[in-house]
Amino acid sequence: MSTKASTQTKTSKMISDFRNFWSEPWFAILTLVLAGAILLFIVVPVFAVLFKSFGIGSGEVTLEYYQNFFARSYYFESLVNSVSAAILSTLIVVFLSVCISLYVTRTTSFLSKFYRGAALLPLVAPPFIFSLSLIILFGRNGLFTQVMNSAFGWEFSIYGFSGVVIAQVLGYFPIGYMLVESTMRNMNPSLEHASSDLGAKQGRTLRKITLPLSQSGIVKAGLLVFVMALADFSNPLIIGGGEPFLASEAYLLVVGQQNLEQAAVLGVFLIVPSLLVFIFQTYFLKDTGLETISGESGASNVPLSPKVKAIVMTINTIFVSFIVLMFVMVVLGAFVRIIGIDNTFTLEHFTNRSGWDSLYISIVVSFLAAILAATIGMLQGYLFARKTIPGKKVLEFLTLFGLAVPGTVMGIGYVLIFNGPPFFLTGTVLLIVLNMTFRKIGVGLEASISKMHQIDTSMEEASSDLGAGPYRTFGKVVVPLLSPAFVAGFVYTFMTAMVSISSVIFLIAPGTNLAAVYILNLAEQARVGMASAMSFILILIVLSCMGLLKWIEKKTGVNI
Amino acid sequence: MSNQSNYLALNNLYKYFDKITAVNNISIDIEQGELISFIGPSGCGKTTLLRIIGGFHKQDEGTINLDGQQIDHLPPEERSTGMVFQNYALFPHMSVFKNVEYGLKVEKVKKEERNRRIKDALAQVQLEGYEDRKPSELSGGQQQRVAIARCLVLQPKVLLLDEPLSNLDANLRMIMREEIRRLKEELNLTIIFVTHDQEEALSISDRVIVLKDGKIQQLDRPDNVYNQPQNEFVANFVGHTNILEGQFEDHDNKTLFKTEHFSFEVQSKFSNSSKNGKAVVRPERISIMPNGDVEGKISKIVYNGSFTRYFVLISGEEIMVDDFNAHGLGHYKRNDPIKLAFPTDPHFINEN
Repeated sequence: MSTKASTQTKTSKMISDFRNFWSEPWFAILTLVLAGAILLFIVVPVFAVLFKSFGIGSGEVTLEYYQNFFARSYYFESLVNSVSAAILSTLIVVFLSVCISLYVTRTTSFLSKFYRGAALLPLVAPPFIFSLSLIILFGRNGLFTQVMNSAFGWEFSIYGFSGVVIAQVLGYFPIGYMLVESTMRNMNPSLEHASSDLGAKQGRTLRKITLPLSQSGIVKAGLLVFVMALADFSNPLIIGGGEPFLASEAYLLVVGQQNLEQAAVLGVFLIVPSLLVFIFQTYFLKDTGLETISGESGASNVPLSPKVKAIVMTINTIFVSFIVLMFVMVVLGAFVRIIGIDNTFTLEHFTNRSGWDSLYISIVVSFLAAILAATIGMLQGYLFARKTIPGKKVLEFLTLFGLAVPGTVMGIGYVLIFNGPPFFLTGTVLLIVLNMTFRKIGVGLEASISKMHQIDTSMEEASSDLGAGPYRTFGKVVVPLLSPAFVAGFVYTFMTAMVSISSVIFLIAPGTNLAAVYILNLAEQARVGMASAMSFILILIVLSCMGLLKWIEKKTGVNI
Repeated sequence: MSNQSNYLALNNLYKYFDKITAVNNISIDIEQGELISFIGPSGCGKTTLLRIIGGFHKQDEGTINLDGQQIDHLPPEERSTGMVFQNYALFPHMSVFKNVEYGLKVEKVKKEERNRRIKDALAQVQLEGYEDRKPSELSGGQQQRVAIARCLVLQPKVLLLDEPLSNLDANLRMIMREEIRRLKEELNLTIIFVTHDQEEALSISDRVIVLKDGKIQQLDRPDNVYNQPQNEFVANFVGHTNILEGQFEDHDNKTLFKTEHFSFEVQSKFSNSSKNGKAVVRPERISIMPNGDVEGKISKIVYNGSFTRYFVLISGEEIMVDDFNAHGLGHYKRNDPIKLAFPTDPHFINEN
């Protein structure tokens, strides 16, 4: 009886949901178009890779390529390398994040601003820049290598596993650090005060109170860094010294041997961990609410004891100096003829015609992708936050999933799908734009949804109460209120698109070379001067984007 | 039990924040087993002072002695003070038992003794049986009790309570007041209690310190603070009051206190010191009487349950008069003409 009744209410609920959905037909159509696009540009490519790995589409269903994977130690080694490098990088990033966060959130000196600034510096750089500066310093002709060689006859090479790990630590550090810092900053300071009031020394307070309560942030940071490091494509290619890693090996299989099936298998091994982490984060790592049982009236964090301070400062200073050194190297490399060999000042690296061409294309493509991603994010955010949409949860999941899919997998998927009818887009700029857009729309969506939750529905109700229809309300009330989310989505997508590589590298054609890919090629060939010069320009562009964002924030008084 | 009169001694404490002097030359001697309240409006320095005693702020000048030992240079973990935070600061990832055990473990107390002392402390705050709960599974009042037990178990020399009742509802606040009083009596605790609620301070304390802008305005027993406020600020901050400015005039054998609009008889001893004065007349000390000397008209009535507050116009000046509702509702209406009898012994403040 009761189950029958509940099915009945369920059915009638569904019917009324559908009625609501169609009551504003334009929004409904828009939703359907969005859903279609998300399926085509996020979901289908991933499934294409999965199917391809079983040989579907190019012959009969087979496990041959998986057998190959485990039989050919070379492929399997790429899994071992990728996973162990990612684990190592993650542990190091988390440890250093805790050290710097401790100092930054618990002291107010000039040094804490310096640490923070330097720790976030890698954000403005293309992700492979550290490989480049590591080569400048420790490569075969590296500055440090030469000194060591002539002084002690000590020969060593940064190429290989250790180089990849160092480059990953530096490149992915800010992402992990920001998460750890924010949990450690938002912790209720009276908990630490209470611990010291109860007689605990700082070491115990750290172990028993601070770290356990920062757990969720630390775990989140670790998972994020792990997934990114696992999918790392450019560092292994530049500094891996021929050691196989999943993403770079998949790329070489596609480009060098046209072996899409085998590449797809590697792609599956890339995507499974990312998917697991994504699901874990979405469904299991909800905020425990431990940190903030209740607010506190203006008390500040417990200052660090001299002992802890000394330890943390030593570690921080070494690490942060290393980051700064990396940037200095790139700048030097850009402005001297051949760094370490011929150190005369020159601007010749900046006069590279094809470099500027690729930069121009990068800017155009990134701009288009950013506009598209921000617009979609805004529309989708509004629809998702305010409208009854059947299957909304699934769509939201899939959109955010786009962020979690490793670029290499997405790239291979695009190659598989758009290389023939019905969507023959390979080699076009449009495909590159779409790829950049749909990999990043999750960011705009999240920004818009959180903004929408801050906006009281009464504003839209007031608008319709005053006689405006739903579309006018959207245009005149919602869009202006969402503009900060739009700007955030735009700037973020533009900055990441400018330096993105792992996915678009599959999609470029002669004449549509992108700056990031171009630099990667230069770095692979150890053409350090030109690579540094181009990286330097990219850094300047990203920096000016951030400056622009700050300027807009200041001008409008809106926090973006 | 012989209680030291300067068990906790604050000597000439100063604390500066940027340009504000948050604590301005504060000296207090606190007796062992005494419950003393810091009250004042927000920003008066009461919490800062408490945190200085606990060691969470360092004073810029002055010293603190506790039980004959100078403690102002010690970090919080080396002071035998116990702080109950406004939001309780219970460790959310630990059970009630673990929370209370925390300080004992730091002190490396043996397991059996730990268990015994935790059991005692939880019994003192009437929380037996809650050992395994997490703080998030407790009500506000229970969290408060855990926070107190966590301090008590370490037998602190002084217990510091930072607005401990402000997060509780009105009834629970009353119960916890009684509880804190009871614990204080049973264990001869020395307690400093910070609150912005003057009624709470009056009801719970042995002595009250009224602070404003980092300075002590008055330090006295609750009844003295209420009945003999040192200045206008204290008079207004603690309870409600009429403050009447006027002069003393001698007529025959009587002394009259004469305001701009009316006058009433006072005992002659008050007029000796000066010609002018400010009289603090609490509304409940003025009575409505058929044979009263002062005539007025009721302009506003505020019903308060146990009493009714009448605002009475006396030729243009408005006076508050409280009438106890011994027989239910008060019997006067708006615009009723009434006669008032003023007390002959109001408190006069000398402010320079």
